[in-house]
Amino acid sequence: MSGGRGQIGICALLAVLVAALFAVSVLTGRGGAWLPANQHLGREVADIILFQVRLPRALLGVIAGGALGLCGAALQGLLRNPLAEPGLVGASGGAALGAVVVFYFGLFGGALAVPVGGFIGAMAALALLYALAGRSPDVMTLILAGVAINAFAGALTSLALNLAPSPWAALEIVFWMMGSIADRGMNHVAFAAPFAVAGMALVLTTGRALDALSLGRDTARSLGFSPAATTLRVILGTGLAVGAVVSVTGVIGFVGLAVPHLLRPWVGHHPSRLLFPSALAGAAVLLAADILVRLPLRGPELKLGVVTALIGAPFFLHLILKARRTGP
Amino acid sequence: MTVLQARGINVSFGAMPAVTGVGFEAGPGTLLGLIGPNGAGKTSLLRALAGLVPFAGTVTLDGGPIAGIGRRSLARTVAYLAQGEPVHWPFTVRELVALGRLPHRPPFQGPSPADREAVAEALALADVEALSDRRVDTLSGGERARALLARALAVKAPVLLVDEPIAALDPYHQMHIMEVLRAYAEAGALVVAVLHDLTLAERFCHRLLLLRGGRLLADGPPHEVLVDDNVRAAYHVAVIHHVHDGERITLPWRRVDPAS
Repeated sequence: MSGGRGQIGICALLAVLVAALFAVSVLTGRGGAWLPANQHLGREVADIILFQVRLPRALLGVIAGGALGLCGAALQGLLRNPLAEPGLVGASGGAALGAVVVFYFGLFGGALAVPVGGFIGAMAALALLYALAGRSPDVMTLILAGVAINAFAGALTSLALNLAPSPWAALEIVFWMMGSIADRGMNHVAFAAPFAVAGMALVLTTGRALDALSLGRDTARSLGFSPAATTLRVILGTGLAVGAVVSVTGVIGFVGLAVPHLLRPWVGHHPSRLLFPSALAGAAVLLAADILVRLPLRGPELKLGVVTALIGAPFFLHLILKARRTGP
Repeated sequence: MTVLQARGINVSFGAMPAVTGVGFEAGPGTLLGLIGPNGAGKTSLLRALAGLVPFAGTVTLDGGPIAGIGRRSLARTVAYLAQGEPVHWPFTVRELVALGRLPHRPPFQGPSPADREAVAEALALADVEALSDRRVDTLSGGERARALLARALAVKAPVLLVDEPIAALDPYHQMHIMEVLRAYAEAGALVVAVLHDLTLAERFCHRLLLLRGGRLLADGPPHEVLVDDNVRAAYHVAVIHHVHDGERITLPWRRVDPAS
């Protein structure tokens, strides 16, 4: 019952952390160069770097991290499984496929062609998931349907790589899929933000229903919540938010999986208490990882998705081993 | 004070009828035992009363059909404890019990003083106060059963439906739970409990409904329902009766040939 005030404290702390990391992200450049480091560039160039290069990057870090963290927490609550993550509902796989289709067929109808393709892919995957398993009372059906959709989208993505007209096209696809928030513009932010915010708002309405669902579907219904409506809201919200984000950034794994686990020792196990803090912590984690990738001065810049997977995969293994030690 | 009335309840799974034409009426102050052999339709009937399965017929609360009651309002009026209710996260007992207050909490608000009071009351009723800071996944079977019952009691609903609350418990904990259910009923609620233990059903329930093959075979006070013919017809079991301190005891004793 002590959740209320403690949770506000955690949220305030996380919000300060996000604000600080946001500022560092905007002010830090390649190799850790603090802006304005090169005074001789002049005011105009500095403004371009700040507002057209780094600001969209930091904003995308907040939006993408927030969406991934929040949706990860909601899906772990919905599926009552601590190993669930946003990729599970097929939105990332669908977005990757949609973007790859744009690359492959060279449908570059503008700067936003890839995000639009990705978003359409994510929505298609989501519609397929809901048609296959949305009304099933069994969460396992939902999980397996998500796995199948991801596998199929992955196979089609590989097929596109296999048949890529040129090594250049294949390379482009591969680099995009690694996931990054570098070199994106304000138009990308403007594209992703409305869907991400709408999706996140939808997911944030499900907290109490997810708490009730932790006692099973029948009990949730007897407590006045509709499991079917909750499933729809979480899947639709995740699809919108994660679909929009992934179609701009590429696939960034493990943030949605890991963030709720980092928070449980502080806010407890209630899905409702995890949602908002997970959005903030997701944003903080992604901003921090994105600052890390630009610190090395030499060599190609590391892709954000590569770094989150490098850190996240061992963490995932740690969770599985911990779960085996302590029981379910 | 809520009177529950069920009329012509039919529940079926596809073409398979689970409950056929069951009707009864029961009011506050009653611990109503729902008994019958495996597959008799006890759980299906209970789920219909809770509005958890589609059914034909009508269930009314104080004359109003449950279909017309809003979801949240119904959740405050009828509490339901599933058999072997899962707890998917390692909540503390107090956190688990507090989930029973969800139907009472307005959106975006923390627990009210009334919520805290109801949780404390439920913890005390089910005798799990001493466990309130323990994690649910560290409890024994008997402790867990009482913690889950406390969750359902915390709803403070005038109608409480419980499915096999004493399955897999030792005699001490079985009697403990039955006492809690009876006390909750006698404080002014209607409690409907699915039970398998005929001896405890007779000992603690005010009234029994005996189901067989989805139909109501007998309905009345325990000593009228648990007569040889009824038990034999429903369970294919012969019982022995005994009187101890003026109370009648019924004990299932041996199987009988279903054909006889």
